[in-house]
Amino acid sequence: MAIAEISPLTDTSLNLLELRHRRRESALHQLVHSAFEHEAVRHSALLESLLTRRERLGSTALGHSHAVTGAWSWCVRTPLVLVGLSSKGLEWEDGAHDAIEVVALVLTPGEVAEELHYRRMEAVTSALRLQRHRQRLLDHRDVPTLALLLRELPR
Amino acid sequence: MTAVEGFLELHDLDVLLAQAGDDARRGRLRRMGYTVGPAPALVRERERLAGKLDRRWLNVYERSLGRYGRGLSAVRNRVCLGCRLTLPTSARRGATARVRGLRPPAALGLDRAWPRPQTSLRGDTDPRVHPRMTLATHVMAAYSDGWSPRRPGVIRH
Repeated sequence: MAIAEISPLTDTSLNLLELRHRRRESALHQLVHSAFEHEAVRHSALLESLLTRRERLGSTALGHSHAVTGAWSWCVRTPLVLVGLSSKGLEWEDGAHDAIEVVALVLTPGEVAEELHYRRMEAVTSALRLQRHRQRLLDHRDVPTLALLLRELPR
Repeated sequence: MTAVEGFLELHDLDVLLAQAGDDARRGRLRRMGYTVGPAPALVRERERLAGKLDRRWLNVYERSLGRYGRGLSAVRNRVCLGCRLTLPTSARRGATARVRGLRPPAALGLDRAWPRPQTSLRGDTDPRVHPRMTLATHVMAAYSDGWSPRRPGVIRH
């Protein structure tokens, strides 16, 4: 009888990182750079400017210490969700009282339908909406916890 | 900035402006908790960027954007990811043939070969493995100009 050891596959469409800076632009730069290192992004500078422009349409901070931003672009190679955690808190927008502790970046390639990008954004925003979910992530800073929170995310 | 990067940036700007201007998209974002306001600064930025791009390709881009909602499409292994049609070999990188008055994007240097596929040493799923991709302003307007008129039903955007 053959015995096979089966290990679970690592979910490569999620990533978790610690944000080092306090400013929004620096945090976006770090997130995009991390995505570029994962080879999920083609033109990191273009993507960064897209995310900065997105902030000009209206802040992506959803209140209560978290922000979810995203891009549906040809600059994205593969779907990826990056979640950045900040211990010190980020100054996301001018005059905001809440410091942002959790930032999610949802990247969807331009070759898939826009509908899928919206569904991915909805999945991430609804997963991070609850305080206890965000607290669980801040307490257990690992990818399995993130994967559990984002289990409904369309891949 | 190369022509490809210029058109990529323009396309991203158009997607953002569509989010700000379209009621359905704005409503969906509002349900997620976002507030999306008007963006006159982005419109000005778009005009400034469009002014720097080649007028001939900008016309093709804008026609495609108006007709199909997307002005740009990627080409992977000679297959357009917008309409799923296989492109003629004349549209390959470096080709110089003219197709009914429209020079293939490759001839204009608008396509770009992405890094060749990398092989995972472990043989498992590797996020860094990507097929070769070329990106061009190969747009649907080229088809509507009679490049491949026999299968118009395939075009779906």
